[in-house]
Amino acid sequence: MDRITEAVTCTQKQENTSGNICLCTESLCLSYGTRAALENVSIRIPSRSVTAIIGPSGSGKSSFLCCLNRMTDLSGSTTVGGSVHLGEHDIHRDLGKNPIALRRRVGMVFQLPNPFPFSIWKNLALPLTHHGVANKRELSGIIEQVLRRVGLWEEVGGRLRDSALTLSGGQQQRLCIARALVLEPEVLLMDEPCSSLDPLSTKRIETLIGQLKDRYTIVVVTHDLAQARRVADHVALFWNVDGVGRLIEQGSAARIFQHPQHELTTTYLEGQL
Amino acid sequence: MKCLFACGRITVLALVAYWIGFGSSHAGENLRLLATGSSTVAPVMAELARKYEQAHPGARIDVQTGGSSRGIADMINGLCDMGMVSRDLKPSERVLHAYTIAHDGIAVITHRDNPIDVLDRARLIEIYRGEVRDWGDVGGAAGVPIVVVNKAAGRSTLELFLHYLDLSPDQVHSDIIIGDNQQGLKTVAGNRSGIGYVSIGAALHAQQEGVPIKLLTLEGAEPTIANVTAGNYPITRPLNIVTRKPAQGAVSELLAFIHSDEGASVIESLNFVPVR
Amino acid sequence: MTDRLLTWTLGAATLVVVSLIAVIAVFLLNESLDTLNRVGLGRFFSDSGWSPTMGRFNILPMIVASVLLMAGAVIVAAPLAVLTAVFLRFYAPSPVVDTGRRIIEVLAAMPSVVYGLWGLVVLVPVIAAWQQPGASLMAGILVLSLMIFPTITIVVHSGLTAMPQRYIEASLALALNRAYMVRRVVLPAIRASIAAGVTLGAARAIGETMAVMMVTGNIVAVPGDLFDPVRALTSNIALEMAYALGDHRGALYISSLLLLAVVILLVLINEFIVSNKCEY
Ligand SMILES: Nc1ncnc2c1ncn2[C@@H]1O[C@H](COP(=O)(O)OP(=O)(O)OP(=O)(O)O)[C@@H](O)[C@H]1O
Ligand SMILES: [Mg+2]
Repeated sequence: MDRITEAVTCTQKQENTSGNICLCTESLCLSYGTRAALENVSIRIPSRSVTAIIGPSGSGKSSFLCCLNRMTDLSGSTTVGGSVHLGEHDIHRDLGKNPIALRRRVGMVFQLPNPFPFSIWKNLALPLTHHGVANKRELSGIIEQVLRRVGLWEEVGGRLRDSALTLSGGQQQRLCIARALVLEPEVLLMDEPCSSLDPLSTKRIETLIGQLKDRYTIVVVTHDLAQARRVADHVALFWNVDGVGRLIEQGSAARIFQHPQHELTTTYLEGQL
Repeated sequence: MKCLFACGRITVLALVAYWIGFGSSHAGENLRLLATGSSTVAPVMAELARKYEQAHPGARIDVQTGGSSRGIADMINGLCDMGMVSRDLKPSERVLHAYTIAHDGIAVITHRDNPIDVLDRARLIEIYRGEVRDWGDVGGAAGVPIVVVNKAAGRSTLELFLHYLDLSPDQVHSDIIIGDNQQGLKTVAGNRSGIGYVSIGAALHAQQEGVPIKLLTLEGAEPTIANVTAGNYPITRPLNIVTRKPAQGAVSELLAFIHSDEGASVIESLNFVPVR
Repeated sequence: MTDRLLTWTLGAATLVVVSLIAVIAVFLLNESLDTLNRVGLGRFFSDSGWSPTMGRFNILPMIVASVLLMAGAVIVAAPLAVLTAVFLRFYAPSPVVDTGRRIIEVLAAMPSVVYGLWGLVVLVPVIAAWQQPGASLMAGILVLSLMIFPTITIVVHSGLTAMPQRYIEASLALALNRAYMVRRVVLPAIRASIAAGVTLGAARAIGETMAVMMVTGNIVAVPGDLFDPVRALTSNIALEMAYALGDHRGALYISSLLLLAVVILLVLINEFIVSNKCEY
């Protein structure tokens, strides 16, 4: 237990990371009903870079991600404590009434591709029309642009009216990324975006992440340490301590991988190597 | 799936039980009779059957309605044990044997709140031909349209009533066509400007139970049991049970019960006139 | 092994059902054929009226009535049913969901005579107080919509419950609000269920006999407006089959055949909607 406390203070000391801080949490806690899933997570996520969240299964990585765009509101029984700041705003206090505004700024991509059972076009047009883009020309422009950005335009540009369900898994996942991008969010949350994909599709998406980080702040949960090494600028390790997820260590990717400070980090990195 | 099989099995069992248990009913204690036909006779038959079943445990008499014509047709096709017919047999039907169990009349009814109490035959004809469409023209509330309730073709109540008015079915203008007596009673009870005609027995019975209808006086005769018994009421008819062969066995036992004092009191309680 | 067994039993069950329908169709056809030959199909639509005992066989007004009753009931019931299902799935607090669903299941299981009786003693007098004679196309439509409403609601609600949760997550993550999500994502995603519910409801509406017979007035005529009485094909069969003979009987069998054809058509339309996977 002592070691954990030490780890927490230790991560708190590392707050002077370089660059602007886009997202930061303070003593974030989450419980599903009466069961705590996250405790005392204070993390700082720098903008326009890739932060990888790593850690064993059940350590609360997905739960943490869901706190950032308030997907936790989905089920009625969750309670969130502490605070989450997006830029200046406290997402619960300042954006309290309206998770919609928050989710416009914080997009999300899920572990399993989840395109709607409609055409490719409609998948991308839907969020746009909802948010006020009605002009057909404008729509086409944005759709082409995001499809190019995720490298899908060459593959599907000619058959936008086909059902999105006819695409391959990798194409579907890139479509979902494109769909998250049409609203021009500031932050993109990705929960194991490559876990259901083959190595080639994985590589495409990793490249894509690398390109996107010029414009977006990206938080990606991954089980694949090699992937974290390839794409991440910053790394945060979560651990399940006595049934509750905690943040063990955070820092720049280079430092975490070369000089892990916490024993658990070392164990985890070695175990996976 | 399993459940489906189970259900199937139960049905099969029931069928087998039916064949074994009731197929040979006429011989044993278990007796099962089916009566179909007139909806006027049906409630009488059902009540008589109930009393009969009480006195004869193991007996079971099912009653289904569908009009006198169905009673005749089912009997001819051998689909029932007794046909219920609320009129005399027509010449073409004389191959069947008819047993009169009661007498009834046909009452012209309106809603209880209708100010009219009496109508003569000529007025009725005008109403049913659709020549008079307003209650004001026959002495009722002016400006209230007459809603003519008629029986569906094939019902003996219709045939008798039209015979009395000397109209053919084609000449009748109707606003609502109903199937059985109950529907007729409820329809007129629910419509303040309606006029219809049903069995006197059924109408009196409904009235006793508080259904808001009124029975009109025809040709100076009120539709009462006394007037039907005395032969004063203009539209009367026999209620018959018909069979293909002369009644025997269970059916003749039932007829004997119907013609007994106990049967007569059941029939009277339903406002029909028993025959002894 | 169990899979083979299941395939076989399901196959057998399907075969039984299909052959049953075929047997019924053949029976109806057989009963109608003589009349069809003697009278000719045309006269069923062109005769001067319906009085089969006098050789007039026009069933067109009753076809019109049946179709209007069905269409009216679907138009009234389907939107309400979809709204109710959506409300139960997305808006109602969970105790309301449970009781609501239970009440609707009870309504769906209620025998149609109950609806008919209610229509006869409550609804028809209310309409009569407003537009005589009360027993009318309108009364039929209202009673039928009440009858098919729970059926459609249950099917749509099941569709909503079975819909993958990931569509909802995706919608929320895209900052769609709930109303927009329901309209543009959820309803299109479950349109197969909606089509199935509507088909089931429509089939029940066009096949309903007792309830319709009690409230529509049963006059054989093409209605001029919603408050005119009408006679549905089913009511006609119920009212007349008992004593019908010869061509009259044949004509009633032809109406049954027509009803069967309409139901098969409904199922085919449903099939088409379901198989047509992609929107646009
Ligand atoms: N909707 C929920 N309701 C109740 N408990 C939940 C819910 N979602 C997650 N949990 C619990 O919270 C804990 C953390 O789960 P979470 O999904 O965040 O882990 P994770 O780190 O993403 O795991 P993995 O790597 O396997 O995806 C687990 O114990 C899980 O059982
Ligand atoms: Mg996870």
